[in-house]
Amino acid sequence: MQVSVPADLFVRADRPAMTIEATTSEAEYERVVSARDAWGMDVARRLDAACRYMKAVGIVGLECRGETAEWEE
Amino acid sequence: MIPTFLLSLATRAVGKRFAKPLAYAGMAATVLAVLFVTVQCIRKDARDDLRAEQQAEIARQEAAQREVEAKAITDRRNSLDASTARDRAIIEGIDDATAKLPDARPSDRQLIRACNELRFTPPACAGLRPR
Repeated sequence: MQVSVPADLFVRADRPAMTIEATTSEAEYERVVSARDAWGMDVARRLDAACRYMKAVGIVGLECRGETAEWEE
Repeated sequence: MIPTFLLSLATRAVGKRFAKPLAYAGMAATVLAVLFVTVQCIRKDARDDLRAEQQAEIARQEAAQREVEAKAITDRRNSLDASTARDRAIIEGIDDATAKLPDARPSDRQLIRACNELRFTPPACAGLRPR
């Protein structure tokens, strides 16, 4: 089964925003990028959990990641 | 020289004429049998001693081998531990040195990405061409 997600799935209000300080400070830029990484992994975790839930309730043909994502192993 | 009871036994068995040769033969056979048994006992003892010695040697060699293997494992583990400790010290040194560095300006690539997201409004983006 092919499941499509909208292209703007990751454009959300709770995504850590770029700051003006990041244009003058490398540390601030890295902080924003790291916060976005953490945020993206959290979103992916929730999507994976939703996938596993749908698979558990009987939707056939779904391929889901395991409880532990590959970047957390 | 021949015991009396042996001579009388031989006389009773084969008569007086052949009693003496038979008694001598019996004596000789007895002596040979005793010698044979003695030699067999000595050989058996020698074999047992040799076997015990060989087993002890094998046990010694196995113990020495185990000791060598255990030492090799310990040395390997110690080497790995030392290597890990060295690597950690190096990483910590790099982290410390990085933490002490003054806050640098973002690289050109980072600046362009940040400015692009901020629509080139910050002062630091002045002069950069909007995409």
